[in-house]
Amino acid sequence: MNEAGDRVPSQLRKGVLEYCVLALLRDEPKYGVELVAELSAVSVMTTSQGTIYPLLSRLRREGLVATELRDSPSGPPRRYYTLTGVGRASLAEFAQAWPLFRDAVDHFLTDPQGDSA
Amino acid sequence: MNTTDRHPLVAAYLDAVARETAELPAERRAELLADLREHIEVSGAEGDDQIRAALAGLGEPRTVAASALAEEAPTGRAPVSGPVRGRLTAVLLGASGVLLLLNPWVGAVVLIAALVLLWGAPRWTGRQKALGTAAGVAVPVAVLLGVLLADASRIGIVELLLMLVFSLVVPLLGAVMLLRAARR
Repeated sequence: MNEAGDRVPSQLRKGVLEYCVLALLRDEPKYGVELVAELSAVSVMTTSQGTIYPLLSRLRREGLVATELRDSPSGPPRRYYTLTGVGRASLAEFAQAWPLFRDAVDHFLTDPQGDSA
Repeated sequence: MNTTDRHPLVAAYLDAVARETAELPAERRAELLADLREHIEVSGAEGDDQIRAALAGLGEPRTVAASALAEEAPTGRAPVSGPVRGRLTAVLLGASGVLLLLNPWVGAVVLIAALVLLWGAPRWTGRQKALGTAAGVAVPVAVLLGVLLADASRIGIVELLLMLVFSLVVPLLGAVMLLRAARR
């Protein structure tokens, strides 16, 4: 994708990608390749899969996820990411704020002259 | 282990990422390189074409490096527990066994402190916390069982030595497990 065409999605991703990662971990631990594949399945979420790892590293340092190396039935051991209590709380906070935010943006985009939100 | 990480294409890619992340702290750079290497290994790419595709999926080394440098900038969300706290937890747990034998009160306080730190920290998974707890609690449980079940007159030098080794080794194993898990 060219530089200019990726600018808007790239700006938008910045604030929300980490919450998409936390949401993917809500029900079960997942390993890096699995997480990346699920994010890439939705095209706007990643263009360079490698950029997920610095994000995961920060989420671990901030205590939102924990990691654990587990053996795999085939191939090398995999590093699994698990949602922590702090991560779950952060995800809940985002899930609550997001619809209001989305509606507000929609409001300005579709009806900027409207007198109430 | 497969040979992916020794493949020249992979080596060149990782070298490029390493060059572009020269400003990162060494520990952070090593972690990023290990994550990328693991990604390529786990994705099971073999042969030049598959490896080229896997590397293309990861993105330009410069893009990956830029994202790593950006994540390093302060985000306003403080790290919940620094490496110091993790190490302190492991050291207290590791020492608790021997301290319990030397002075039960000191040992109990140290063990309880280690367990409080352990369960309050987000860096470990529930399973790791349970393992750490088991390693710490094993010593007082073993001592108690020994006192209750064994005939005091039959405790000789061999039994004492075994007890000493047990209370040294088991909590230490727990501490090592926690340290290794925290580093990942």
